[in-house]
Amino acid sequence: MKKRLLGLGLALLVLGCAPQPNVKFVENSISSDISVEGVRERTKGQLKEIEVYGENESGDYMTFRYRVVWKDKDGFEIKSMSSNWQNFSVFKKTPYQFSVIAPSIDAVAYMVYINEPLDN
Amino acid sequence: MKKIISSSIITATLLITGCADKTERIDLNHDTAGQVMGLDYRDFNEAAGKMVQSMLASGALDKKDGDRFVIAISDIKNDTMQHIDTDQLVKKIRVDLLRSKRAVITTAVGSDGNVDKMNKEVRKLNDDADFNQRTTQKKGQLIAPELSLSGKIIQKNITMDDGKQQVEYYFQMSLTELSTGLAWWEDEEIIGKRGSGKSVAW
Repeated sequence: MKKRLLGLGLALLVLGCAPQPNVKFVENSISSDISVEGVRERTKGQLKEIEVYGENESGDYMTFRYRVVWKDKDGFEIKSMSSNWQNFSVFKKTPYQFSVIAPSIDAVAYMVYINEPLDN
Repeated sequence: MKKIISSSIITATLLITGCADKTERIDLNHDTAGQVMGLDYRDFNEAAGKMVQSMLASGALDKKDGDRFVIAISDIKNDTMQHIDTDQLVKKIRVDLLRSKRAVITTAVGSDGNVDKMNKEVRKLNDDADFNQRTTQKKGQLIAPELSLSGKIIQKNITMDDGKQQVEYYFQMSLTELSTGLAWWEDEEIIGKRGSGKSVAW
């Protein structure tokens, strides 16, 4: 019974670190400042477009970084400049969203990484 | 005496080389070095990345039949005080546009630096008896561009009240349909930097 509870607790911890299936916090320390409520998807022309939305839950104006890694149907990464880190800033207690369009018509899957800003 | 002098030279050399900063390779994925007042690769990456995203998201490259547009690279003017090869910006954009499979870039026509002169040179072989004429490029094979990409980088220096210097860089780009002369897409990215008034941004 204890083992089951421990397993359940661990599973909840892991889920807590992963805000959405396709979104990952690189530093878990930011999970107390920012929430990810979801990811919208649509197709524009032949390209997939995603919009990540959530809220800055902290009481400060904050800057974060994101990058999106796109993959083709075989799971191979499609390199592009959208895989470079991009800054985004949010006012305190305010919702945010950022959208990214797939770099190629071959892009079918993606993973969004959100991180702390660099100190420069 | 000679021994003392030579050992002093060796010691001094060791001290100097020991104090010299080591050369480091930049980690392009995690560059924590401070900003510079001029434009560096981080600024070009950011500007080019946002321009491509904007262009793809605008729908200007969505061809009805799903085919690709042919784009010529026109002038990208450097209107800054720095010696910038604008190909640094253009190349990144070209690479990502090709990868998108929504456009191809012609090197047959365009601004200097974006044209491959071999397109014309090989056609001179059509009358050269030394070459097997079945292997030469025939007339009427080059594809004319449908769209043209042009732009400008502008720099504006401002001295703040506290003596600091503010430098604003404007990256402006347009995508023009050549049959009508209409701009189908335009965008501007601003990168601003503020630093010591003694910093030089050219």
